[in-house]
Amino acid sequence: MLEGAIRETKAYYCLECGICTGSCPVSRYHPQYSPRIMVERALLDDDEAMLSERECWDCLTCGTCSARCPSTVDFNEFTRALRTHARESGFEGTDTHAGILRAVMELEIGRTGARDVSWVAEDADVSAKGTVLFYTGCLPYYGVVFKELGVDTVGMANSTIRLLNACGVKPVVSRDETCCGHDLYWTGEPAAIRKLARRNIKMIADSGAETVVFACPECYAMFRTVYPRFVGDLPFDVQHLSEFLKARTESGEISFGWVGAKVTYQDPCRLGRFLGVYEEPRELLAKIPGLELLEMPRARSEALCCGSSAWVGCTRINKSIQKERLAEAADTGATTLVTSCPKCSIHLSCAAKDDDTTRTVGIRFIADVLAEAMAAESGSPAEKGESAAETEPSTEE
Amino acid sequence: VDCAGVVTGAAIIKAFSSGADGVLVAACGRGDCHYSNGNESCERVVEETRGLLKVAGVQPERLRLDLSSDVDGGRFVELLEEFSAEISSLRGAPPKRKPAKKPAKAKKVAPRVAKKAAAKKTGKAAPKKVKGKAAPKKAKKKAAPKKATKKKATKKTAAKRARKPARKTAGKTRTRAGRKR
Repeated sequence: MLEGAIRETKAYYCLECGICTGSCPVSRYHPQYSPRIMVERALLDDDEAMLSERECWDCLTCGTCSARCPSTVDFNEFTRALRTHARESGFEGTDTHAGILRAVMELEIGRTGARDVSWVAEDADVSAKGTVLFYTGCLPYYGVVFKELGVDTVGMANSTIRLLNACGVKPVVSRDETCCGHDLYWTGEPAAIRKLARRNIKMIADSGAETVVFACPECYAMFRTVYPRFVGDLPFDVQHLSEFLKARTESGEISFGWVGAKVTYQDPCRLGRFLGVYEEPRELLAKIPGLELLEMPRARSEALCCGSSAWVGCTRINKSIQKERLAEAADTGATTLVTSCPKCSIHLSCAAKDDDTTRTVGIRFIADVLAEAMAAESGSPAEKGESAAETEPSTEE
Repeated sequence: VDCAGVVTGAAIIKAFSSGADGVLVAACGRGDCHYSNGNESCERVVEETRGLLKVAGVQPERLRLDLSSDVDGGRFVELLEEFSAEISSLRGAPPKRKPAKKPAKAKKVAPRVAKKAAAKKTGKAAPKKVKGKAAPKKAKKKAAPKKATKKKATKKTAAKRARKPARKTAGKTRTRAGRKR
């Protein structure tokens, strides 16, 4: 059943060294889960039994194992193939949030009307047609679901638009945008991806955009690596917000005011290990005067995942990973953890809510931090005679 | 379902995904909940779901929670008629589904003029006989036009629950069966 996947992911090269299991954040808290054993079982034709097991859905698809594998076995793709077979055989993971986010994705597949864009703030300028399109993804939906958690994803989208405005860009926010399909893809439902890809590409072509900017690394990864596999090369350029802004700060189009704060940076799996975008967000943060970036011991390709993915399975294991990461962030001495992924913000904010330690860090999305810095006064408080506390970024309320 | 308190946003959204023009959650009156506060906790679920529907361009008025329809048959009929009329008046108003943009397959099977009963999520009747991954979905879609002729507004009742297995339940049943194996 998994022969195709074994061939594609080069699982037959497995040396049984166990580096994958040793690297896996899930295995640390759930010893029965082992990428190595899963690959071995598939090679020994025990894959049928694997489909019904819970472990099939435990992988975070963070890519740490694949990045370290000496035989370059692509365990992420292996997991995805396994899940696709599992779903075809009638097994599925446990949806988080009572399945409402999966239901939204399914609604998006069949959605034929236009999305509502009334969430765009009054001071954020968008246009119907233009050369730059801002792909909002799920941000407006998450704004509804995670309002109670205090994570304002609609605010993140608006901050992104404000930053683009500052670069002299009035981005297109299209009402015809459709879900990118990331979570469906990674939970074994690739069937809809071609349809979603075509619809999104048509939407972008209709808007006249030549560059598409993403705030969410997951959407970005779908467009950059997955869509081309389904529908061929894309007729436009795709960039993460941090890449787009980095070029603009270098040309001096935007500059930042003083923000006195110690922050640390969380590399999202999709942006980091998947796409290799490590430096752009760091360089942007470094451009904010007064802001001190303190690295966690595990950063860049070694970064620990935010502990949950694709809205499947949120258990003690996931929470433990998240708390481990929060403790690591607090140990750097930073007061704020900045991330470039809205989902990292959501997952870590959720874990911070029930973290029983006193060491807590605020979780912020990079666009919010940058937009705030852009609006801040230039010059340090010492020069201006203000107190540092006033300019310190507030943590998410 | 036994109580509005177990109605999830996912079940409501699935009803819209499978072609419903409106969903009415008919719950017991305020203070009359057999399980203390199921009907009132449903208010939050409905509120959140409305927010999500709004983003997707579905008018939030298409989802209604009514906290007065436990035993009063006359009132219930009135409510259905009123809701049905309200939904009909919304037709054509933006952003309504445009048939041209609909996936071709769904177009043939279930024209969106159909108003159908909402899918229900518990369904103890969950189908041992339904086998194969696509079966439950198909059953759901085909059910749509049939119901359309009969009933205008959508609602959740125990009577209808038995007729149509929700897809999710079906999946779970199979999962358990698989585990035993």
